[in-house]
Amino acid sequence: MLFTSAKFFVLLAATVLACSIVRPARRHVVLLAASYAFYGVWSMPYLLLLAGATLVAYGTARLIDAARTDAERRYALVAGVLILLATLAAFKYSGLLASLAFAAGSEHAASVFSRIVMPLGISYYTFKLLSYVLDVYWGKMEAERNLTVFALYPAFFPQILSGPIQRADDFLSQIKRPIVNDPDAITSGLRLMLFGYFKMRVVAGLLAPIVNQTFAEPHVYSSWAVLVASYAFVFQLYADFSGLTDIAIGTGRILGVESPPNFNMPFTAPNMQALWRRWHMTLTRWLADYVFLPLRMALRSWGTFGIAVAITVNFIAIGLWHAASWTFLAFGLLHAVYMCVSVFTLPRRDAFFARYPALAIGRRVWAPLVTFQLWTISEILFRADSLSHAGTVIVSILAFRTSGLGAPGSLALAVSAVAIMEVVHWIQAREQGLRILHAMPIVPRWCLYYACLFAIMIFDQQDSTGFIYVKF
Amino acid sequence: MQSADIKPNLSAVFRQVFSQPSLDIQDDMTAADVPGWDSLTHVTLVFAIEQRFGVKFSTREVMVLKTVGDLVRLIERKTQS
Repeated sequence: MLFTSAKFFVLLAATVLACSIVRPARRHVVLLAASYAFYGVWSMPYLLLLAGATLVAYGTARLIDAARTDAERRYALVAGVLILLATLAAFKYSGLLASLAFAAGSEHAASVFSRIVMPLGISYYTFKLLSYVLDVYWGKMEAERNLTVFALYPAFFPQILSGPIQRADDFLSQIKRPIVNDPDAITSGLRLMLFGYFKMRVVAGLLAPIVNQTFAEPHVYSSWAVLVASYAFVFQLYADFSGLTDIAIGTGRILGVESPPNFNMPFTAPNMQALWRRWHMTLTRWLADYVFLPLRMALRSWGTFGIAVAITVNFIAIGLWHAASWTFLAFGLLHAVYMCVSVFTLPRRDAFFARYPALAIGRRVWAPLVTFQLWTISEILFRADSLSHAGTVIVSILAFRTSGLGAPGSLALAVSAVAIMEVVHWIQAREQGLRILHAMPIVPRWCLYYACLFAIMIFDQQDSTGFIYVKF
Repeated sequence: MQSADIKPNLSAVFRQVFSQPSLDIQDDMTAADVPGWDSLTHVTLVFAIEQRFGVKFSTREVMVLKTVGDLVRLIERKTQS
């Protein structure tokens, strides 16, 4: 069940209604039933897998809590983490495992792995469960005793398809709190959902044909058209993923759960560190806390080399989190290089510009532009089907070919939609802007809502946008 | 070592790591209060503290730290043991 299906709206309405009828203390039961229905409609066997992973994390945390020695705690942690990671690897990287099994001569194993379909949201719910188990092990939180309350954490239907990857202590504390029916939260949630649909169906939808057609045959287009398509993909991905996130956060808010933000105007970031702090923020923080920090701690006496190793491992993990392919490995490695160069040169660059304040003004303009260009290059790897395909796209841009086809699709319309999206993001990022929006008289406000709805109905490109981040 | 002895030394480490000569630490201070205190500089800070106070922290001890006050208490415990 996707966020655009009629079943989703029926489920949401029924859940809101049921939540308002049941006793506040039983709200989590309704939300769990709705979440399992949401997932079960897609696949019952994979719902059992989700329930199984939930039980593993629940049991592991309880064992850690009950352990009498550090060794017992460690054994419980290692066992739980290995089961969760092995399950994720078997389902997410089944294609790679099939190739490895085939290469090793086991045709039966290869055929088994090649038939596996990746469960929706497995990366998101496994990461949630891993962070919970690690937080209990590190003593950041106590193990949850109520299984129904806990089971809702990985399964919560607004977040299961594409995050945000909320931390257990934040989520569970909200679920245990008595619900307050807040009309403002519901309005704000609906508004965010509407903007999310606009981003996914209009902005990403208008950009998709430009990207898909150009990336399919980059050699027949002019260099300018391929460059435009590369920029278009950056915004398509952003609109698609941040749109999905807005719908997830908005739906959660309607149901009384505030989710963490996942994006914060990433393309205004002055350097790569800042950009990663604003893009897919919950995944970046997850990896920073559970991969980068422990590794950096272990290598802290290695100095600069230790930082470089921790950064590289962290970004390879970010790349491979998306899929086990050469393009995503290259994406991760390229970002590791970006990050190392940025981290090691930033203090000197800051010192240089502190000495020349006149240049520092220009830096405010060009630093985000340079960062965006570097990001766009990496996104070509993200979009390409293979390394050679990425190479063809990059060569097509660098060939400075004036002949060939121009950018396909409705470029002016797509640029206008991106501009509207960025203006709304700019308003959302400012408290004053939000106050103006909230205080707007009812007529212009509802005109805006209807304009958004009509845009979705008129420009909806149902076939050309593929909910890119759902597949991860 | 007592908290009163730890704080001036800890302040000196903070000033050096974050290159802020006028930085004063408070017990309720968090990473959000100090510009530049992110996941990258966090371990640099931890390593500098270990060197200064002659102690060794485990990953688990570092992961649960939330405020500067937690850090002071951890150093107090480590230097007493």
